[in-house]
Amino acid sequence: MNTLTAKDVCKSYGSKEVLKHLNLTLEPGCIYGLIGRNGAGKTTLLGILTGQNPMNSGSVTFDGQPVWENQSVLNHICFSRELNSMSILGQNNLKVKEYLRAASIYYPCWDKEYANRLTAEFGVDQKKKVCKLSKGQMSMVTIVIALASRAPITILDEPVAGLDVVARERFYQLLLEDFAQTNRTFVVSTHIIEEAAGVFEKVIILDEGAILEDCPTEDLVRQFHYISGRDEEVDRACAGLNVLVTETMGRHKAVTVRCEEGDLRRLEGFDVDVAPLNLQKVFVALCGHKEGDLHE
Amino acid sequence: MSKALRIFFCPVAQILLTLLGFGAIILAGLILVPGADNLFAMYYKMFPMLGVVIASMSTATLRPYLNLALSMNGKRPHLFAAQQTYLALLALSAPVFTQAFWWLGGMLYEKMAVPLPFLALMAAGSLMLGETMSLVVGLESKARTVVYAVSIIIMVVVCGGIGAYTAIMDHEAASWFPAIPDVWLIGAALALLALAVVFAAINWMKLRKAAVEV
Amino acid sequence: MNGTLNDQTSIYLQIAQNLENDLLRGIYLEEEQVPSTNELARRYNINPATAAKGINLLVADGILYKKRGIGMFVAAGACEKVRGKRKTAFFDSYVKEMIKESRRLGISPAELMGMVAKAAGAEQEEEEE
Repeated sequence: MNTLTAKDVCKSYGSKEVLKHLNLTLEPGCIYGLIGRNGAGKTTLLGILTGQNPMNSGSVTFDGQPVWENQSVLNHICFSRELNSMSILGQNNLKVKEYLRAASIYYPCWDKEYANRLTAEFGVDQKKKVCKLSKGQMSMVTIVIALASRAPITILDEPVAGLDVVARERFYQLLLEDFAQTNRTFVVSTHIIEEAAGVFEKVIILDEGAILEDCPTEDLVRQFHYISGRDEEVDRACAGLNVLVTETMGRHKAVTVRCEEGDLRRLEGFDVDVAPLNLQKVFVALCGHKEGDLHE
Repeated sequence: MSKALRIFFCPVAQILLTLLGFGAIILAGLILVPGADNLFAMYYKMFPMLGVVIASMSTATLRPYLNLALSMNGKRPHLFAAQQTYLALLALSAPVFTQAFWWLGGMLYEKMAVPLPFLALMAAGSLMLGETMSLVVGLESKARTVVYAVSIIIMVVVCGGIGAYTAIMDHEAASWFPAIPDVWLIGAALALLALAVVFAAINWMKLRKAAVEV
Repeated sequence: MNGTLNDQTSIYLQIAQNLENDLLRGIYLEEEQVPSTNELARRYNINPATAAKGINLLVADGILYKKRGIGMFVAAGACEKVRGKRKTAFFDSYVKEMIKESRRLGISPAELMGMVAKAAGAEQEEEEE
């Protein structure tokens, strides 16, 4: 029921492979966090999952029905993208209320009062043109559309980009309140990881067009440990463990390892500090530290 | 399908109201500023050309709404059909408005009229321009240049022809028609229609597999 | 109101621990209702599933019980159970750590015992005053 499944999805832009044989199942009634570096393919993936981007091969189905151009399926989905102040004709002269009107036409469960309450709370003037909105206000419109759509599967692409910390906190609150009421599936793609980590029941890590991890946040984070101390001691303690990152400074060495909690017991005899890692640090350990890292 | 029609309603209504507005201003000018050779008199005679230009070029404003609808799960075939419906509607509005306008104007100023083949040419030209505008906004720059070039040449010919014709016309009907055979007018209209259909087909081919633009 | 969570232990464990602390402080008495999963999720700005995990942990330990259709309540004898749990954990989290640290600093077991006695003695003196 209400399960969105992607099987063996491949997408290339010209000769560049953006998504490679991707498989993903979105369980109903769960808040997912989708994280990945710029260029990992997050927006492309989300577009394909929601039938807004064609894929080269593979299938995307909702309860067994294909998603592409299928109105009865699309009625269950809302993909709220980042707004752009530029459009195909130059400046984006569409007004906020036109976005909301379009949403009321296309989303069968659209909640107009909720949308008006939210725009009032956020202080967004519905009569303003999108090109005249601030970055924060554009993010807020994205959020309003996503929440008020009341769609069983609601996907938000970078909803907090441009929001200040107070507004972000408010967003997480609104998201959780809505989730408590409706129990719909949310997928939130974001770069601001740690403050949102507690909100995500499951996390999907996308790296270079492939899904690296797709599991409960808790379970993922528990597998990673930060072990530090004197270099020889650390080496002896971590022999045979899966070491991802190593940092040395003089005789001080710190490593990030991935292992089950049971394996940690053998570290007890060694004079090393063992600390947990949060989701953000786990993500950097998994997806950072590569050649040509800061190129996008 | 009804969803797609509703999406485009606002921009189309705006275009039609703009046409009406222009017409109202010209008529008001005619009434309030008397004088046979004044500006309003010239605009009165050239309204068809203006009408075609306004109705056609403004169809570009439909595109952002199409993209918006696509981003909200709009179905591509429905959106294309709705867009074409409105393009046809706008194309017809040019000759309809012109005739209504001249009928009104005839009571206040002087009668003008054009024969049916000419109206057909106006409608076909408007449709062709409308299809052009709808197509180019979705194209990359090189293809755009080609389509623009083709359309501008045709537009100059059509508008030039209409403009020259109406400027020359002082009375209703008859004396000048033998100079431009109906066959030519209808032939030109059909050619424009054919080009419009070609552009519409290209538009559909692009839209069918289009990714939603940000 | 945002409770403070750190990233040293799993969130659901911290939820459970905070509830236990509240119990020991008398914020919730036996047979009283504790916040629901959704209320906890709101307070800490976390996913309700995580809050539920924390509550379920306490239910499994016999500290909370569920009244169908109403909510979660503090079980009879919960405070004792919490203290018992903490005592066992005390050995692992405090005592073992203390030994480890003392070894690192080169403090002998005898010295360490001396320190503990001294501290306990000083506490008692303060209490008596």
